[in-house]
Amino acid sequence: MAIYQDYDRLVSLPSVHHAIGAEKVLIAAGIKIVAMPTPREIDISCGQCLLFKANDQAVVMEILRKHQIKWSKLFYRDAAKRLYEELASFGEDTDV
Amino acid sequence: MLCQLPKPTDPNLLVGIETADDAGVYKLDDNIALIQTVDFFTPIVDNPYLFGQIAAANSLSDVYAMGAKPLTVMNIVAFPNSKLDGQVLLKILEGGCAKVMEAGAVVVGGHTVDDDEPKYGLSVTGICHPDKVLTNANAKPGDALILTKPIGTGVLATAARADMFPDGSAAAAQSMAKLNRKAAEVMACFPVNACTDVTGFGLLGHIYEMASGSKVNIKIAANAVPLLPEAAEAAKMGLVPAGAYANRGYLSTVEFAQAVPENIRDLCYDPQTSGGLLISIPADRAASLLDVLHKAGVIEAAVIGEITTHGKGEIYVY
Amino acid sequence: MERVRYMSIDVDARGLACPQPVIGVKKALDSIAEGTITAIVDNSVAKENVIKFATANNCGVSVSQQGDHYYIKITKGKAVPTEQTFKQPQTSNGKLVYLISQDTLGHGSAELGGVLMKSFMFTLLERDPRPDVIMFINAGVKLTVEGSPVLEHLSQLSSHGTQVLSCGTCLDFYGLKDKLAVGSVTNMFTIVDELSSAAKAVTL
Repeated sequence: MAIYQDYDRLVSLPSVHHAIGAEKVLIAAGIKIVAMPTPREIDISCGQCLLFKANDQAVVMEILRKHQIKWSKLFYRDAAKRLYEELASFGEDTDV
Repeated sequence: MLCQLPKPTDPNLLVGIETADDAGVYKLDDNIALIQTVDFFTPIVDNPYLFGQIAAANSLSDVYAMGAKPLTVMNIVAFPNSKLDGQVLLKILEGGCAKVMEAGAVVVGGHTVDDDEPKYGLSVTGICHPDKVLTNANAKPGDALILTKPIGTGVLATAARADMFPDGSAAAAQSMAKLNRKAAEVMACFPVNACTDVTGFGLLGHIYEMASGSKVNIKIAANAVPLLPEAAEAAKMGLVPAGAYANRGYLSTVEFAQAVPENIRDLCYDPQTSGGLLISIPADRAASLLDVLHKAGVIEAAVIGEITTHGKGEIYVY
Repeated sequence: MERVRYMSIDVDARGLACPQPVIGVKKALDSIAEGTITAIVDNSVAKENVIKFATANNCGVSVSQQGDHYYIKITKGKAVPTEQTFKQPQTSNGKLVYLISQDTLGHGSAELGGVLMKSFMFTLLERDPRPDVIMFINAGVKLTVEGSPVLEHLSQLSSHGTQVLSCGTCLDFYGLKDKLAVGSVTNMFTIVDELSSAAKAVTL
């Protein structure tokens, strides 16, 4: 069942600790975030990702940068189609 | 590219390249205008006779779209003489000839060149009364838009290459081989404002030509557009030709309502081969024209939209 | 190309004309019952078409662009059962019931337990079949009150037909009776009844 369909951005993180840290600072900044287990379409091993809305992308990435929180990849998410398109990769893309 | 060439100034040239119309029109006298058109392409079906029929129907279509009657045609052929048997070429020409005869025209000659890839088509000459020539640039607000053949030939040709949806591909081939003759003859008895045929730029591409040529905006009902069998499923499966994406990228004035699904959008951009006529007629005569078309055997004809206001060629699909 | 050295490519559709990429992906997907296949294409038309094919066939898709190539990972799941596949004992009512006895999942780290509980509730919401009843006891009731980290997930489950029940005694013990934010208050009789008559009961 496609849920939280209006959250069309997903950021994956290298570890649970990074995910917990990221979630804390983003919630503190008032961003609407949903924590979710990494979808199988992206990776089969258990991990944590955060969902947010495209409108918040600039703010979210800025907050993660400010707190020096390492993330892995940023995806466009279409929950209804179970489609994830990679938009950026940590360290490679500097203008997200 | 043609606009980079010197513009003709002959007053007898009624329709030249300015409005990207289907054919050229030259006035001979007060009663006769000469229509000229040419088209040819590579095979889209395996059967050479069927290919000949489709290519001929496609070439003849442009004359019908101007409201004219085809008279003489010349074959244009490219053929790999060293790689394919001459019998194959014979079958192609037989298919073409059969369609030309069905159109009531005659083959007066042709030209063949040697080429790695076979290609076939016709140069067609037709005639029309100068006052009855139908351009694609005269659609009026308040007109209804009628399409006479279902769309989806590009998608189904792709499906055929993938050995999928054989029934749909067969139906597409039959549709492509049909002449637009009946539709044109019926149209001649009605006060049609504008007409064009749907081919390589896809349904939306040709609607745009009519809209921008006529300086109007057009609204299309996606549900009303007739589709070839299995075309919607084939498009959903990603059997969408590169030409559809190219057509989509080229048009910038098209807006879709959110509810129109992706596969239907792809079909609206799907490049067609030997498609139907797109007819713009005052709304109060549309039902009557549709009825006569159906009775004449053009059974898939349907009203697909309307010309809304004067404008710059904006198209809204809902 | 460093990053992709260890990825197994099942369909290399580079340089292939339409519709070869879709055909290749179709063959690969037909050859597995479930799992993941990876395809490479070198143009956006092929990428769009492969995505459409995968989505039309109920597969999940993840796309990554490397230079001018696209790596498309397609995930095919088990066929969704159309009827209930577990045997129902004579006296069961066919229900799927969960009993949540704490506000974290598993033992070890409380912090990790919180993360796991959130993941669990997310996945419970996303997957079919959804539980008919979820009952919360002891520290579990902290999940159904204001400020719960899984309140949104539980609210959605509740609005889609899952009964969310919180033990009254437990709410009272934690002083949370007037903070209940989803579902309703229940008692031990209901809890025992639901557990014993369920077709399937899971305790966490």
